[in-house]
Amino acid sequence: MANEAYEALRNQAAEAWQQVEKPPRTLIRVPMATCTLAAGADETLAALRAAVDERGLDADVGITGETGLCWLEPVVEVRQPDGSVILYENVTADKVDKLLGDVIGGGVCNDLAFAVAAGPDVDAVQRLEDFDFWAMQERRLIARCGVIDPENIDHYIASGGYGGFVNAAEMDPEALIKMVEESTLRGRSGSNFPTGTKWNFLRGKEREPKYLICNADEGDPGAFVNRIMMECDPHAILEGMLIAAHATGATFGFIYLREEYPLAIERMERAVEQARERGLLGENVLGSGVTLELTVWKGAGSYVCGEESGLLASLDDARGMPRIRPPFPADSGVFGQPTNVNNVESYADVTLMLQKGIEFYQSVGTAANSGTKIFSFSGHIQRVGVVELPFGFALRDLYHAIDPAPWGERRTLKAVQSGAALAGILPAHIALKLPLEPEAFREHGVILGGGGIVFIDDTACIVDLNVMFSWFLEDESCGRCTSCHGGTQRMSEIFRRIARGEGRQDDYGKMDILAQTLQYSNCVHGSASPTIMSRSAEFFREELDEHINNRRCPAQVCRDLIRYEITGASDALAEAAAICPVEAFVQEEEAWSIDQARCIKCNACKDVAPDDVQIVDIAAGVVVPAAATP
Amino acid sequence: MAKLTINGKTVEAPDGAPLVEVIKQNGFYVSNLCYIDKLPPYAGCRTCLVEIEGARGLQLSCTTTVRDDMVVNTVTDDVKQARQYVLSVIDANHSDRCLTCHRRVKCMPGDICLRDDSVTHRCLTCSKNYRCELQTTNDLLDMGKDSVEPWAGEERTYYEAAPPEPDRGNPFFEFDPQMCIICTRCVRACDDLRHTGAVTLAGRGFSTAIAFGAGGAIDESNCDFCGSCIDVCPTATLMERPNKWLARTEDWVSTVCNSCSVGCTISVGHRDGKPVIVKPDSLNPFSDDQICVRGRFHYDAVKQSDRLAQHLVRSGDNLQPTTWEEALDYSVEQLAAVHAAHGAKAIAFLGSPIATNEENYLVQRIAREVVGTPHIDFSAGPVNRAVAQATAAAFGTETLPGDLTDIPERAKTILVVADDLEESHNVAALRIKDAIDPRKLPLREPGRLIVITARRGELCDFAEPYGGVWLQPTPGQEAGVLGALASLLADDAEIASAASEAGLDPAVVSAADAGSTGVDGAALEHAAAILREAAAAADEAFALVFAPKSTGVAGVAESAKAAANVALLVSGTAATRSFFVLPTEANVNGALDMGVSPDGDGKDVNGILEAALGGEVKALVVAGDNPIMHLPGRARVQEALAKLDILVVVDQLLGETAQQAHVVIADAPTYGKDGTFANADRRVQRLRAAQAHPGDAKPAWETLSALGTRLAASLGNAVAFAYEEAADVTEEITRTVPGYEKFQFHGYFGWGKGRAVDESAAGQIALQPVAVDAPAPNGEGEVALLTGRTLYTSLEGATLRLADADKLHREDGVLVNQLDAVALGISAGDNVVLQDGAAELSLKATLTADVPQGAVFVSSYYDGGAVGALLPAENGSTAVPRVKLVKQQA
Repeated sequence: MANEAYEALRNQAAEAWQQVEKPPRTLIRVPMATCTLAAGADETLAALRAAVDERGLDADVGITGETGLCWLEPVVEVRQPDGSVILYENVTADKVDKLLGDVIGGGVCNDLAFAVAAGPDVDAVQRLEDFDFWAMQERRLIARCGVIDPENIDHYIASGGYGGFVNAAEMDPEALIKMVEESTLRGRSGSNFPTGTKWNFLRGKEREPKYLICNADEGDPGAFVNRIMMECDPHAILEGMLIAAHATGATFGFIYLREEYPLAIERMERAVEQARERGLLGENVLGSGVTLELTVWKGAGSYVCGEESGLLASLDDARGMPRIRPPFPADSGVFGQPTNVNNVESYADVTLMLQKGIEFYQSVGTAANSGTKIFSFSGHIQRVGVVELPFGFALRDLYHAIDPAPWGERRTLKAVQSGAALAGILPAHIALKLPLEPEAFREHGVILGGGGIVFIDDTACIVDLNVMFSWFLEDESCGRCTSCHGGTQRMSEIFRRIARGEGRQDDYGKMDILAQTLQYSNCVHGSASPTIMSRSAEFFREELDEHINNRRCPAQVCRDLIRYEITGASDALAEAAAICPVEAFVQEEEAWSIDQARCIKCNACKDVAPDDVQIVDIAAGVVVPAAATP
Repeated sequence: MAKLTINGKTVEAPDGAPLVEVIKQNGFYVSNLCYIDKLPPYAGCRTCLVEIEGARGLQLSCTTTVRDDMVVNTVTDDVKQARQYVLSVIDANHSDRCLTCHRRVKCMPGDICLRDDSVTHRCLTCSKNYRCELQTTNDLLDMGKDSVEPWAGEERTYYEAAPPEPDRGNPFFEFDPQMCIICTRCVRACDDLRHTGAVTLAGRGFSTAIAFGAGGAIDESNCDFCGSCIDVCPTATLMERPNKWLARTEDWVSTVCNSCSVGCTISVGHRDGKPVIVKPDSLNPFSDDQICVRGRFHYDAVKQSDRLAQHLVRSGDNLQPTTWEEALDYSVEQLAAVHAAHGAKAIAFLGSPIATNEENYLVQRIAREVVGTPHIDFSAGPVNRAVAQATAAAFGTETLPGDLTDIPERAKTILVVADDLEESHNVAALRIKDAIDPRKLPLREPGRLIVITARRGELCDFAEPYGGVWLQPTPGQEAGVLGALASLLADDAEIASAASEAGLDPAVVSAADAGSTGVDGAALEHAAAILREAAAAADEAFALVFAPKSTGVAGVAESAKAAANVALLVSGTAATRSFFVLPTEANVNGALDMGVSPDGDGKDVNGILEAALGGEVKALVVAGDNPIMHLPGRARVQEALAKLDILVVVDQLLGETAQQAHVVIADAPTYGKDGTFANADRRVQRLRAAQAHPGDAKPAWETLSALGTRLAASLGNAVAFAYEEAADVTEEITRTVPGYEKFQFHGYFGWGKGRAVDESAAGQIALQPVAVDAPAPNGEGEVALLTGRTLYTSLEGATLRLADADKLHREDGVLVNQLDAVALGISAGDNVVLQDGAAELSLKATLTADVPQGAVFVSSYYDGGAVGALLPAENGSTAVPRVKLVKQQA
């Protein structure tokens, strides 16, 4: 019965997909996602549509999701009736005319072409599968990202979408949970709790209704793993929730999103609406007996609402504070009912597992962690983007793929921060030896986390980073545990003091006290917040000591420890003087100098006149003895 | 029960009990600054760390529940150090230099701190010094001895950052956020103990702070100043404003609040003969850990110098000071003269619902045994006796065995017939909320609430949102609604047959309809459906709470009968335990039990005044009562009292009745007396003296005892009043008053636990016919005048007609419905005049949606009961009085 209904949907969908697969005329598709919008994709799309309409060109214009090639965006895809698919890079609105001029009628725009995704080879254009960044990936969860139109449910169904649910519905819920347990799938948000075990907890509860929550409150700085899934393949998440509903007996669900993800909210809401129209949500989905009602819920954007019990409190209309456990969500979650909370990516993993089978799912990865993980990376690298890699992939290989060649004055990679504020920080020489697997990172006292990785080179200062992160941790503390809201305050004060050059040797002792105190906090926000402080003190002791003992910032970042001096006399200085926001540039008899009382050390002048402005350590050459302990 | 080991000692505790409570109960110390006993843990302070064998790291004892074979250690070095570190983080945002100073105990007031010149705010200059939980915690964790202050001098610590502004803008609370350690006990006390939610946690991170309402002043929030937050505050953040700096008490005395018939037990802290602070005292299990703004702050309503400190005797238009002896002799002489000239029946006596059982007992003894008059009553007598009579007719006894604690503990369906119980009997309303929205451990199944009142009170908000219903009749139609409900219930075949089996005649209540009551049919049917379910579930407790209005005897009588009918139909014979009456004043039940009621052909208070007007009653002795303030028809009462040959008043304050007296004998303040009260469910509780007697004032039992002896001698009557202390009177009561046999004054801990009720009450149950007049429409320019007891106005302040009787000035005006106000062109704050014939009352208008259209409300205590001038004397009608509402021209 279920299959018949599903086959009908598939037939309908196949037709729609055919229009993309074998377009009757040139089809130009623009990726529409947060990252591409930032690069101007909306303008590109508007320009394309206007040009095609006005000139009556023989072409169609559509949208897709993003591919993860963020540094090349907007990446425009051109499909020809002959089946060739070519990607063009950095197609901003001003390049639209040029692109159209070449591609209408089946040609290739060599100037903008980036790679051939399908079809015959083109001279001097690489094939996408040969591109190192692409070749290393195992694109499974994000296979549809940049391929289908995320606003079109038919595209999803045509690619096998909701087939995973059909397969799941034919399984006994116990067997389904057993399969998920045996797949080694563990929570992808960074806590690594086995997903199948969680489902088993909920399945064992008799109180109804039961709730499923999709935790889409991705708030870690540098993480945009869930965002790309929601924006580019929203139905994969819904399907995962349907499968979970079948396994656990839950009948209601919330997708908890942050207000800062407006496009993801829009896409998820549209997806829920479309699924409901097709009978893929609601009562007795596809005749399978599974009932699931989904609501997209916009959170108010508190970091701790990404912690599952904080999220539940927020859904309950209470103050967004992590709760005391027990009771655990499976006993008393949202509205006091049995509840299960999973991450976006965890649901997508389940969808993949059911669509492609457990053997396929486990065909990559390691023994402890089979399958793949999506990573987003940013920082001091050339290629900012998103990739999907099998577990165990070497971080060093990833680094080489995203920062491939020396670019001008190379600086050295100093540190890698995975999993954002709570996860800690590792020096490059340790980090680059690690495989991308939670256990490997845990051995060094840090966490792999939800997939955001920040690469930091030696232009960044560890003290400065700690000032920023400890402020973030303090500001996002919910206010329950004195150890946390008081401890993070003290933590940020210590680092601010060190950044001002007022550090003392006994600060290390204070950091130890804080590390001990903070561990007695209720939720992971408090208990993990000293990680970055402790790892910095452990791995970057020399840099901290330099600040504390010599009042020097080796990276020349901490503003209270440096000053800007003019050492040259080129014409660029006039421009630098003009750009100075505080008018600190003083000219006397043609010679420029900087009024130190005015200078706010914003670095704008050095950007304009790098050869004429130098950063000088205020305490250069002066060795300050360690402050006497009081 | 679980058997566990704490620091090597084997103890027993219920399985699943919170470890922190078990540790404390067994005499071990564990620091905990955010835990509130019996509430779910908040786990914010993180100082209650203990070591549990087998557990990884240290555990919080507040979130840990007790298991069999648990081995707990609270005193290891690790535990101590961890607690010290956590506490150091708390201290950093408090004035920690004193807390961690080993010299603190040596500092004297006025000493300069020799340690640090930046220390300006010190424990020594803090009002909570030596009664501060944070201070104690620091001491017990050796913070000063070990000099644990790692954060001294850090950027945003207490001494480095500008303190937030305190809120000192209201008469009751002071809120000083610079002392706050954000334990949120106040938030949870307000939410979970009081269901009020006036206090919240605002902000995040460094800006986390406690806020009242939306973060403004306390008196602009929905706080009703119960002070529950003060009781739990571990620092000087939230404190009582009155006597804030004096409240290091000499001693504490356990006594009873006299503000309403709930009878909350309180501990009065006193210093230099004056009460300076009041805390709840859990002796009365119904009030338990809670009191209201009246209990906590009304001890301070009048100044000691405003109390009567001298005995007075009339000389022409003036009352002149005299001695106690002379005042007594003069009274005896005059009373004897009246007795001689006009006989015993020309003398009448008024007891008081605010006076103790002992005083009331003596009043009726003088009346009956010495003088031999049947005219004995008190102002609140007719109304409350009407309820008692309806109760007795329905259940066979007026001393029903129902225990009020059943309401929070067991009641699943609660029907409240009362005008704003929140204001009249605050803690009773609180306990009803406990049953509807339980937050305390152990959690119980929530109940459902039906409220019948014309005027919206806070309790109405606990009806519909929790599955119950608020029935809002036209003013005066409460009995009609109850009648219609009873009729709907009697129509149910099962209820009717059960009633017949129990010997009731359902025909008595049938055929009443809701036509003219103003209540929506669907709402009535909803209420009936809830009650039918309650009737069907015989094992579930039902409670009907009836609080009579303070005037309108006929209407109260019909409402009481109708309410009793509903209780009988729902619970049958078990209704004796589910019908609760909350009398109008604190010791109404005591006064009734003592026999302060007319005998046979004796007159009640209205009859006595009528007879005074007619010249039949020539002498009146008033002990603690104030008929001018409490009775309707004020002018008539004054006229009647003026006609008396002799009016003797024994009172603490020179109220209006006392001002008309020929002799005024000064009584001790209520909190300066020994004696007993009987509260709503006749829990007999002890008052103990916590306050010195001003000047010559003597406790009334002494005065009455002497008056009785001398009057007996003068009348040639051989009655002896040989009491040496109040306890002797009590002892006599336990011998002579039915129901009080179980109490012995000395050495018996049953006070507060035992109740003077007929435990075996059963038998004569009966349904009574109810007669309700159809509501008359308002005449041209008229509104219905509603009155009642309000929360903030103090009885004593009102007696003296002080401008500050309601210190918040929330109740010194008339509540006018917003829509009426628009029609009449009245704006908030305008002066309006209420007129009834010649009687006029001019007051400030407050606009509200809480009173129904076509009605206004004036607090019955406003300006010494000024509204009494507009109320007709008791005339047997159930109609609601009408007055003209006019906007006063500027």
